[in-house]
Amino acid sequence: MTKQVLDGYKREGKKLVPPLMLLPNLVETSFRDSKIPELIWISGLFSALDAKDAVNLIVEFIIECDKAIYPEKIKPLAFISNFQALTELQKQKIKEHSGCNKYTSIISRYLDYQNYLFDNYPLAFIFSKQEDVSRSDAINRLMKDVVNLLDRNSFHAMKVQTAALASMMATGKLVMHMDVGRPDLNKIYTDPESSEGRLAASFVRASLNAGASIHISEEIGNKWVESFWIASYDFEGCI
Amino acid sequence: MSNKKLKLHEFVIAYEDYLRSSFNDLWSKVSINPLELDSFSVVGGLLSRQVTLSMQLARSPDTWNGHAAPLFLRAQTDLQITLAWTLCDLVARSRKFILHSLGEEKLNLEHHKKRLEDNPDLPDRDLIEKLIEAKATWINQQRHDWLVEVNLGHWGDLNARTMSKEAGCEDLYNFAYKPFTQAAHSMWSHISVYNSRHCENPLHRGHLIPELVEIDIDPDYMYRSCKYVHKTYQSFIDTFKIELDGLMPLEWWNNFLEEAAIQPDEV
Repeated sequence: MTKQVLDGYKREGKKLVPPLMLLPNLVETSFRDSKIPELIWISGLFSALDAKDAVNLIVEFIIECDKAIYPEKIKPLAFISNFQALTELQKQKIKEHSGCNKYTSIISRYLDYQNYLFDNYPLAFIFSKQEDVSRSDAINRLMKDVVNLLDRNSFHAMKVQTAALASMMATGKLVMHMDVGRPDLNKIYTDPESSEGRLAASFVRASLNAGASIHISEEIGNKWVESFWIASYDFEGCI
Repeated sequence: MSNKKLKLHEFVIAYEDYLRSSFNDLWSKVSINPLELDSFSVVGGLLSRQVTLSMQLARSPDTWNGHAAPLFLRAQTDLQITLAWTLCDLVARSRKFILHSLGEEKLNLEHHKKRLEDNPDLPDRDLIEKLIEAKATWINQQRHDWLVEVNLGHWGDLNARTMSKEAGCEDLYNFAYKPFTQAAHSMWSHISVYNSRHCENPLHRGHLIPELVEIDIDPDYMYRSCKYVHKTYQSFIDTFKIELDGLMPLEWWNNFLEEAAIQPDEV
């Protein structure tokens, strides 16, 4: 039979609805709008460090934060707004935990410009003092962090998402059933263009979508995301 | 250059300068909500389109007649109705506006794909493949194309008349949009007047025969174009509670004619 234009679309009144939109409980999200602000700190670390060092730093730091707060349960800290959801006591525990200290000094050194730019930066509590930062330099670096995430499929964005997912798995926030054929996530870093690399990248994006929808506190997350975009809009005029 | 042509040239230069500066001033006054950038992209684009259409018409005085000017004026009145209606509920309606275009491009893209499938030896295949790629990129930058619905109806789910009524510009619809639509769609009311003449043979019972009718330019068409820019500016001023530095378009028009001491029949 001859294939028709928009085969598989369902007609609803004057609308032709794509098959995937007919799935129940489908929720649309925008990576650009809602995930870039959440992953901006990871993006900044990948901009500053080589991939291996960045992954280790991020995953180890998050593991140590979890340990510092144990046995209390917290949301995955890969999403930066979840730092804001911590109580003052929990933040204090992280600051005082020796396992965290070796990482907080490095993170605060590399992310000083983000802390400088945002009044309500969720990681502000790990900074002991505000470093002397040039405003224009800070804005340029933030622009780079955002640009690198705009295309969710780019190499940089995939590294960021993979590190986020790896930290969620390492801290038991995302548990994969044994039956789930988990691809080799290392391929994203070592051979991103291979079929295994692409499969792994697709797996990461889908898993992170699911994880983010469950693990980001809606109220605090939205507040951070909104304040991030409002502040960012005012840093500089249209170019 | 004749005196008449010189004055026309002066007008075109001055009008374009005025539109550029007033457009920049107006847009700079709009307070953009960083959380609703798409909505402001829509109305900003419409503002630019309105001014551009008027500038393009001004640059081509030979088109200031009943043959060609209505094509511009129909687009300008349509735009004003779209803008006025959208501004009544900016976020929701501008989203509809965007999604509708994504759907139309998606459908167009699928037609091109089907054409290639059905005609593997198409001579301009490379060109069409590039076109498909460009369109797919444009769609996917805004929304994954596999999520794009195709709306075969009007983008606002209403017709232009209802939209104009809801937006309080029904007169614009009745007395400008509709008449210009007749010309833009080459309807009988237009072609029987502008593209025909009565045969003078009494034995032919006064039938119409096609005629390439030459008509003089009429600055009233340009005046109307300026008026629609004025309406668009006014919509922005009212909605965003802003003020334009300097003159509004119709004030500028009157001022220019007065200062240049141009009589309407001189244009």
